[in-house]
Amino acid sequence: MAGEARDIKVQIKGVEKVYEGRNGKTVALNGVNLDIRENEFICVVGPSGCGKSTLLNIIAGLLEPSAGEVLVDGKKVVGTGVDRGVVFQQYALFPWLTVKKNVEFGLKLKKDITPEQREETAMKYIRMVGLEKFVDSYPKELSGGMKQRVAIARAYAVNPSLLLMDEPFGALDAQTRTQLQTELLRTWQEEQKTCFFITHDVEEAILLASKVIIMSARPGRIREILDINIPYPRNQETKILPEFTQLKNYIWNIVYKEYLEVQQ
Amino acid sequence: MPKKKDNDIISKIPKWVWLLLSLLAAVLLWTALSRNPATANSFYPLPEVFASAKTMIDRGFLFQDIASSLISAGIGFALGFLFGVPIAFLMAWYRPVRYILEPWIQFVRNIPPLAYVPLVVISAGIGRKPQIIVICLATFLTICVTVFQGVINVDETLIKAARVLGANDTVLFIKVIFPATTPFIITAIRLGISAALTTLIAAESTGAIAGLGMRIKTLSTLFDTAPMLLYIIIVGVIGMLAEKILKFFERRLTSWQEKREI
Ligand SMILES: Nc1ncnc2c1ncn2[C@@H]1O[C@H](COP(=O)(O)OP(=O)(O)O)[C@@H](O)[C@H]1O
Ligand SMILES: [Mg+2]
Repeated sequence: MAGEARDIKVQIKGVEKVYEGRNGKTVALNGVNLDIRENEFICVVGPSGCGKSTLLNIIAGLLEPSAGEVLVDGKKVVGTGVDRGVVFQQYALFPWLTVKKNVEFGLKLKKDITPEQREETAMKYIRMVGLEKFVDSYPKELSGGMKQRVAIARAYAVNPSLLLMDEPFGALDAQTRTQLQTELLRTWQEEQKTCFFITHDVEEAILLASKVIIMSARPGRIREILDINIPYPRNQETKILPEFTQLKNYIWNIVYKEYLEVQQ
Repeated sequence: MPKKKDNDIISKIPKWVWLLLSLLAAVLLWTALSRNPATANSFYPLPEVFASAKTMIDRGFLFQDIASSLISAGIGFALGFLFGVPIAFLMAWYRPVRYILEPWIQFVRNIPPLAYVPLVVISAGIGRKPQIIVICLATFLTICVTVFQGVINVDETLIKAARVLGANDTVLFIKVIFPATTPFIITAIRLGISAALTTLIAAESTGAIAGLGMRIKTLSTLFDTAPMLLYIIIVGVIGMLAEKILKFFERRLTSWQEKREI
């Protein structure tokens, strides 16, 4: 029991979130409970508006829950922390900084590293995402896929143990998305990290995840938790396995039902 | 957006040729207007206008006027900028400051400066002080409103990104809010310069003894049209030179911006 408890990276306990807007209250999350284990790759799917981003922002410490709490490594989340990295769908690169300076942004805020170490770490992650030729480029000179690679390198550079990603590949074309999925799988296997990854793409979820969380809308809560028992390393060919197709149909059916409910 | 093909022919012609063409067009238009009986009284022939420069120099006015106006506009602008930028940031950062100041800024902003000049003179007397106050007020309002818009428009996700990378409020301000706002600060400077120059006549109607605005007003009451036109042209040229200098800095400071090629 004790060993297992130490294995738990994130505990989400009775988290609720109510937004008070001009047109009344929106219950975005209504009693979410979830344990995430060390080094798990969690993918969250669900109809849009079911509170996925809200949950991610609460774990990140960017939002406060209306009730309940989130524990990371046993400590209650209050505000942001560099133990939790975030990759946003809109890249969120600082447009006035070069690729290298973007990746160094978080490193510069750390007190205990020398400029040499900073440079070395930044370059390591820029190489990891294959952008060593673009270190001095500005974000406006990069394609969407390259921008997201920089954002991933920037998040990795501060070495968070938990990586939160909110539809990071959602704005990319199919081919770039496939590429980045493969790269992400590889880096996740190289640098053990716990991942919390939101997507609206069921295939993407199954390909990446060790566990898929299906959320239901109205009220936003967890509908089903599904272990994906396809062994890693996975790649695009994983998608043609019969169990992959089975899982895909299964998840898609639930998500589609949820989607229909939202429509009503 | 124009088609690429047109664009190529246009961009092959050097910039200075375009400037020359533009100047030529203006001279032609002016000449036409000076020949047209209906407009001839306003548009004196250009040679006459430029010849009046000599008279104004001989009378000892021209350089004195330019210097005087540049000093008033420069100090007024600098003060307006110095107050405007921090107050804009405060307004964006602390809602109470915004709620208290914003209505008044909007209120005063739309009153023509000429209207409150007498009030300034009553308290500040005549001379350079009231000129500076009037110009400072006009530039302050413009700069404050523009920079404020810039600060509240900073992309929320950039702020979030900085926070999750470990930025506290101070770091956030220096490394994110401020650089993200530079394009707006430059626009604010541009609009502020223009506010300073367009307020010159009002500012110098406070019993100034020299100045471009004061001289334009005096010459107009004397119907001395040629030198008056010259002075108007000088004000325009000062504005254009300021714009050129600003463009130079803008290119350096905000080249990171995604811009449409126009
Ligand atoms: N800042 C906000 N103010 C009010 N309502 C919000 C806000 N952010 C999100 N919501 C609402 O909360 C619900 C969940 O939003 P979100 O977490 O973004 O969903 P998802 O990421 O699953 O699409 C939606 O109904 C959305 O309209
Ligand atoms: Mg979302």
